[in-house]
Amino acid sequence: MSPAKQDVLNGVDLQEAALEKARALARAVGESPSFKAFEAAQEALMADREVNRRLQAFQRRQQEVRFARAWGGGDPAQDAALEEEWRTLSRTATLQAYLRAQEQLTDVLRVVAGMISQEIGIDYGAACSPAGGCC
Amino acid sequence: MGRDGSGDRSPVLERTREFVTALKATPSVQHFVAAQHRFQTDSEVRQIMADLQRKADAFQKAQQDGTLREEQIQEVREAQLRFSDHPVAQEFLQARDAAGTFLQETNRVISEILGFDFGQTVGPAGGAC
Repeated sequence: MSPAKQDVLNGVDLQEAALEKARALARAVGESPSFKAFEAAQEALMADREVNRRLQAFQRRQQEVRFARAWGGGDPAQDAALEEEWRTLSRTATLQAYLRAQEQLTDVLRVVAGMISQEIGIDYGAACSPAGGCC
Repeated sequence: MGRDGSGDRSPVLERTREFVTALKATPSVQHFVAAQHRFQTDSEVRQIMADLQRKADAFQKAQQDGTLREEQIQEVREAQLRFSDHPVAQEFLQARDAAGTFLQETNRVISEILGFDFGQTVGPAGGAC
């Protein structure tokens, strides 16, 4: 086999090895206390019908207000009402627990991404976000 | 369960280090690291970038002061071209793209297992928009 062809094959193996390590990392995250706590909080949130109903209503309102604003029909009173609704909603126990668990899991994920970015010299999150950034 | 969510992170950090080591061994990341080093140490490229930065700053200032001249626009354009035509810069940008493409593939396999988009969760916007 030509040396060049051997190099290509080695390259493919090395990529496959890296993907396998990526899977192992994801499984370790999946088994971590933060991930388990997040899953439990998510299940509890989904089981809470009342909070779910209010959350959906809130998201609908949020979208309406966003559309209105985009079309030049923004209303500060509506923004304030929406903010107030979110404040009330986020005080409910299940949602509060969910948000806290989500934040803690995100903290762990940020540490992971930070280690990768620093070692490789490419911002992992920026490289992997759709459109590579905000909006 | 973790008392404050810090829980026991060490298995995750251990797997992260192993993943980073494997990443660094791939051709696309190795090529990127080499290209980045050339890009950061090439004196010609450094000079071109400093020149571009200077001209872009002057351009912006002139634009604010309302004293922008046609030659100034042309100067910035030329400096940009000198940068984008430089082989070391070109190689760096291409290598970064290729490494980024592979990182996206790793993100896909991680996200598949987690059930949500890992890269997006840690991304710059953080879903804010």
